[in-house]
Amino acid sequence: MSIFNEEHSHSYDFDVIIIGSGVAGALTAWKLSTYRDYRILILEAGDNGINEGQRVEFHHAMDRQGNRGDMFAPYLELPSRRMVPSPEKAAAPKPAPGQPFAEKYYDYNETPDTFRAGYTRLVGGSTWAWRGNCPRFLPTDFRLKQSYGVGRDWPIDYDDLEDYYVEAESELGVSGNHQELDGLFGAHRSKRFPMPGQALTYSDQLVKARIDGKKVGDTTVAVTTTPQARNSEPYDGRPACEGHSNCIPLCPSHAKYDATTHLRRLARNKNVELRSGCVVTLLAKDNEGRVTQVHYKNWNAPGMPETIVTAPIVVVAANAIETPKLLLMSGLANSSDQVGRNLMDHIQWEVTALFEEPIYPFRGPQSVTAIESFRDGPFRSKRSGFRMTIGNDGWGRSGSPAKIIDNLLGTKTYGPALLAKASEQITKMIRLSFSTEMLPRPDNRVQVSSNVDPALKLPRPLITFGVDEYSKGGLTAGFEASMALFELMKATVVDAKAPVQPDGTVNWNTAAHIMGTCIMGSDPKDSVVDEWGRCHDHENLFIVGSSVFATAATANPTLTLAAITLRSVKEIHRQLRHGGRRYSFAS
Amino acid sequence: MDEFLALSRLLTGLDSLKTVDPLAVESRMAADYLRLMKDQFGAGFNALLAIYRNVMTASDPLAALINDPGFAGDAEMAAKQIVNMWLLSQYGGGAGKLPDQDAGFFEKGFVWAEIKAHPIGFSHRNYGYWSSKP
Repeated sequence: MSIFNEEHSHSYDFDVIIIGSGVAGALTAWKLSTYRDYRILILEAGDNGINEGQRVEFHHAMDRQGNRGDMFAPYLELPSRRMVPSPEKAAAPKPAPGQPFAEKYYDYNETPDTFRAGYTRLVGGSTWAWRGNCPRFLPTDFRLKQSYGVGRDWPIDYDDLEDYYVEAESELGVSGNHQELDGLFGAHRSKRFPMPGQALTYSDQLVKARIDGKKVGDTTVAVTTTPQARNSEPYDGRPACEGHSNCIPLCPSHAKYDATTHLRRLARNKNVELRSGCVVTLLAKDNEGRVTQVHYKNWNAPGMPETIVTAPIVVVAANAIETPKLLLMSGLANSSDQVGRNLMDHIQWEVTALFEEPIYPFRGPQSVTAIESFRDGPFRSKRSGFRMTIGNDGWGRSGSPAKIIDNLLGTKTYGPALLAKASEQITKMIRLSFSTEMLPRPDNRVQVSSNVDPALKLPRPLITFGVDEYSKGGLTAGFEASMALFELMKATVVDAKAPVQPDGTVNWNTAAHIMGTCIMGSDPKDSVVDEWGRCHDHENLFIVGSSVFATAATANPTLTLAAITLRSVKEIHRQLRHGGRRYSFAS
Repeated sequence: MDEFLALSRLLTGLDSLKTVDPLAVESRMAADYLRLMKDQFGAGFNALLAIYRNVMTASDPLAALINDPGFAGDAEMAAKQIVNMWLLSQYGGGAGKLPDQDAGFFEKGFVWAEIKAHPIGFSHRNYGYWSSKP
């Protein structure tokens, strides 16, 4: 019996239905369960275990696969891949003019570029394969229009979120150095991190000694330890990091947070049910416009029958591709015509070099330090800022040890000379990568394709996406800063390919930070959800996750989406106590 | 097998392949790598072996091997595969492609010790080991 039904006349299957079990969905369920014994159903499209045995299995799978740089490597043998579309196949290059796009999950019509960010359809979501970086947004990130005359403003500001940032850092277990980041561009911190920052790598120490405090243009460079949801000491029943150099695609030890942390806690709660292998196909509203029905297919069930479940509150936490697709398929929440629009990623590039002396990468975390100094300034009226990370993983996605060996073999270097030269070069590999901000643009969008994915007979997302001059400006600035920093380090740049070419073409990588598409705003005419993540059009339909972001900023999105989710959950809880209906203190 | 190990040692520079204990894992690696070479790169492997047999008594057999007119092409590709197997436990990689197939002994790739690191994903060390020079 629902506790909700004790107080109200409607009969529902659950008090809350949450669609998606990634960090936003898992946090929503967990936090709600701490408020009251709500009956909660989590529906998840993926189907995998969340125990340590599953982690060992993923680790073992990775050991047997050649391309370990692939963020999806451990997950390639999941049974779900037969039935659930594989978004990791999204990164199809744009074909030559007149040629069709490769058959991938993302569909395109006319688009300036492809959308390259993928995600994992797993119980626990994409947190299985993230680096754990948890920088906060800056105050100006919430006031971009007001501060610099571009983009949008959020209906909330940094101060509204600060308490929730603290709570999110506690929930995820974020290590960091308070004194390095308190007050960064006005971002005050009311509490210290739950754990001290990660120990610097040997390479970080050498790099920091050469560039910290130096000037690049007008900017004084500060090398700081990145706040990371990765334990620097035992925390929350999980061990300290063992430095497997493998945060992506998988933390073998669970020292790094992933959403299974909360899902495993929830598994002990008899009022919370997780149904995996269940793909939601439709949300339906009642006569009052309240979204109370959730239709889904369980692809493990013979014939994949459709099941309908009901609740007075529905929370969509299915990421910034699947959430708008589901809303559009359901014809919901779109009176503003903003559902699916303002799709954003962090457009990223990296420059690789050889350090003067061995710095021994591939020992410890993939990255520990960053340079936050370039994230904000008056330049943001013209071009994006950027956040720069210092790698400890050689050349990252630009080149593995295999590439060095391949290059040497290409020059007919064999025998003792091969070993000597390979060792000489690999131990000096270093990269700087920089992520730029995208502005929310209505024409970068997710729509529903007329092409149907054969597995579940559901439409694919139709994507239109392009990189604008604002981001290109940030990429160029990041490239120039990288070159200057390598000069300060006395490192030899090995690949100085500028991201923006003279003919205007752009070389870029995805940061796989999918944001926007159901953005937050005060005005129902140009935004999808209000400051609580509640749809303007449907008082009982909430959206959590980075889809609600009104701006992308330059910070990795997970901590901010977690903080916003915790804030939304407070409102969901308040609303549940009022029959699932919107209320005001006056009423 | 002895011939394969000798050729491997010549190409990779790995002295430890000189004496492989038949009970050690390196012996199983050698057997698997030899099988893979025969199965996946048979023609090139045979061509490489033929050149090797001709040059093995030369004063500088490695220089003689890679400068042999028959080395370019399939034989050279086979040589690259042998190196990649021993150093990374990977093979594959047609023209211009990096090796991307697993040869079965990732954690035993010899490159990791050479660069004073651990196989990616398998540290077996405690927190903070990465702060010190190896």
